[in-house]
Amino acid sequence: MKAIKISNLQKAYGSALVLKDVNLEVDSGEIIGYIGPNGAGKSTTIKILIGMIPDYTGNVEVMGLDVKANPLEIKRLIGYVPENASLYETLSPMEYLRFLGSLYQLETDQIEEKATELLRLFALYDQRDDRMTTFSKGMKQKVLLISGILHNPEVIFLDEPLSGLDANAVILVKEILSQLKHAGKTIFYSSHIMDVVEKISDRIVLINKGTIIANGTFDELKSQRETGSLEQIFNQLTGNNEHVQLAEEFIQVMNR
Amino acid sequence: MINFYIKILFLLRPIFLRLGVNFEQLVAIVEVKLKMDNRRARFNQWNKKQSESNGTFFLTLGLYFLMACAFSAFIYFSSSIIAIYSLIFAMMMFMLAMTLITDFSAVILDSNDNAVLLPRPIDDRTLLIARITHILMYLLSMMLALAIPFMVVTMHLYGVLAAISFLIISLLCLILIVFLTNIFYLVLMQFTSEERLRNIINTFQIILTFTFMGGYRLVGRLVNFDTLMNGVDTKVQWWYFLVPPIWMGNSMNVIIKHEFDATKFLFLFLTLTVPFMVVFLVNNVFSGVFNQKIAGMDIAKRQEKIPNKTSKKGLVETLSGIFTGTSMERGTFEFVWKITSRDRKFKLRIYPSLAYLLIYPVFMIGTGRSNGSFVQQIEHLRESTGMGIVVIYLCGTVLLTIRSQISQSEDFKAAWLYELAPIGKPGEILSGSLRAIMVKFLLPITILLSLVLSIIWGVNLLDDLLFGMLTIINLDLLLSIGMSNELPFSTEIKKNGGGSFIRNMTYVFITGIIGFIHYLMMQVPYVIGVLMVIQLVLALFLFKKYREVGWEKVRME
Repeated sequence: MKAIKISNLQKAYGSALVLKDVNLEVDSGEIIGYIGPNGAGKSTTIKILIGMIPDYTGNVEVMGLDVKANPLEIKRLIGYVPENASLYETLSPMEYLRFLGSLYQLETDQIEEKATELLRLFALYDQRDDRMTTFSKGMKQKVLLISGILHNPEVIFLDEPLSGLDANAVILVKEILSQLKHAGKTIFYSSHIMDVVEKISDRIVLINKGTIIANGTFDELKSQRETGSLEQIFNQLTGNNEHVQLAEEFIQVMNR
Repeated sequence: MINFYIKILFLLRPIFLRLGVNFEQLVAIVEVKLKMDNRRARFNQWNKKQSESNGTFFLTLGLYFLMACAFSAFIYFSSSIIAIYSLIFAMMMFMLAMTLITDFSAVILDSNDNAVLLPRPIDDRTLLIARITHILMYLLSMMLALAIPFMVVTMHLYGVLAAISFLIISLLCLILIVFLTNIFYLVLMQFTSEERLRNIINTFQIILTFTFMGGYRLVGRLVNFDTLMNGVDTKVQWWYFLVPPIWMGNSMNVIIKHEFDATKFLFLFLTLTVPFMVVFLVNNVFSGVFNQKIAGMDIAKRQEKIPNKTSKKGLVETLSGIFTGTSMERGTFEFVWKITSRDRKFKLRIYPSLAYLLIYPVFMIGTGRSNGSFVQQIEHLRESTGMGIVVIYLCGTVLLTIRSQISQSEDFKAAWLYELAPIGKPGEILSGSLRAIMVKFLLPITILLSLVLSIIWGVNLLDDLLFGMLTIINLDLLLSIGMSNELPFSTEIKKNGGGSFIRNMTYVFITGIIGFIHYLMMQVPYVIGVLMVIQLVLALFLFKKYREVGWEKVRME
């Protein structure tokens, strides 16, 4: 069974077609790096997959279930960590996770035990009863990560999961991702940090202007092109070779 | 609308320059703030549909206008110019002050724009005056809605000059009330640390509500129905000089009747100068403190810890176990309970409303007879059980008031989790939220009220109390099941306000009608008892129904 199956997906906001005929299949236990320039349709794809945007055309299945027909079942099977997400900051991490757990109808004792352990692993044990108003961006991101996996989902969607994390936490999260993969979880991962995507992804999917323009392992992508790093491949494929000139203009305008 | 406000600002340019404000910066800040008020953000940014409406604001203006129209008829009947105009100014000041405290406290004490404005080269004075001007623009519209009917009647009776004077004095009245309220806040800031300020600000708002209500009552003591009809006695009491509406009423008298003497002149003098003195004080003495303290209010303290309660369950967890059924209800109960005790912005919005709803009954006890000792007044009250019913229903409106505010939060963007989590029936969340509000706010009020009622009227009003509360709960449930709902803390705080004061008054009006019906039914023995059973069954049924409310009745911004 495919973890994710998208066929002929289209999504328009008003007259603007954000996704034009997206087709993609992901196997269970794969880590997919989903990359593309700003506004390419990455977040929209993810939000359709997790059932937050129900009005699209085409067929989208997660774990063999149609997203439109079974929104609740799918929401139980997936975890999602959005980019720059807000939290109810007047709560403590424990209280927030407790509330979230109750929405997933988990047992209170189970939530408490799991949340405490996960917070300890992320070095937030001492702050577990502090209000999150005082938290740094990285600390909040850790809480968000925990909130995305608390209910033991099968498919995990991560949107820029490393933003704001310090170097130690980044290493830890990368390690957690590969361990999750070994545990058979599917990870759908979107980021702008190319060297991380390059290292941890089994497969890289590149989207530009609403269509997928590349799909394969890093080596496959590299063999199609002459150049070395994912960053350069990205640059070539999404057609932005004018960065030197643009930067020069930028400075000129500022100096006016 | 915004252009109209900006034009007014340009008319007042010389005054702003006189105050030492950077006028261009001020206009820029006010304009952007007004624009933002009209655009309510949606937390799901991928639904990029903008709405520019401030329907509630215009509704409020309309209601104020109608109220003033009705009230202006009294000018024809009154034989005392001083009395009627004092009363009009008192009413205007009271309404503006209440709107200011309930709807705009959060705006005055807003710290959101700190990150944008504080790093820029803007001086403290410009920033503070811009903040106040922003609010003034709204209150100006409200004041005009109130003042125009009175102006028309004044012009009809006393000529154009009197009408123009009325408008000018109304404007002074507005300036006075806005800057006076600010002075209250600023004095408080002057003498407290940021941290203490955070804790005492609600207490302070309640005191402020008391003060304005007290002032209103003082005017009421001067002007009761007799004096309105037969003329006020001319003896000037010392405390007249402490109550601005009385200065203003006297000033109108001077203008209309051309009667001059030393006292009258003093009243006119106070009317014309005090508003400017207040502006001067804010501008020159306090402006430095303000931004610094506001900036400090947001920096939460590290030590804000909840004592570790790993071993034993806390009060909230125990209560949620007792009062809720499903897991989602329980979670939401605790969630709503905790956020309502911690979210300062929520408390800032809700406590002043609670204060005046709860203080009203106390003032009503005073209106029964203006003379006589406290014991005598209680004796007098005992004779009218109707007053007891009024008190019950006023306190009951607290539920409706809080319910109307619970969906708003500064962290409304965090509501994405409602869309992410597998929530089949959002009714469970709504019902958990209602239960938390009932247990946290309505239950203590009911218990307190049962004591007060027993002391004054004896135990025979207790069944009416229970009946009244059930009625209000059922009313709330019926409205919620019938109309669209918002999930707790999922919408942006409404800033283009004026809504809550007038809405609370509407609730008081509706529950007043229900209370009156209750009073009529009370006269027949056993009716309340029988209906109580029906109410109870209805409540149980509605609670079950409420839990089953589906997504189609939930509005996500």
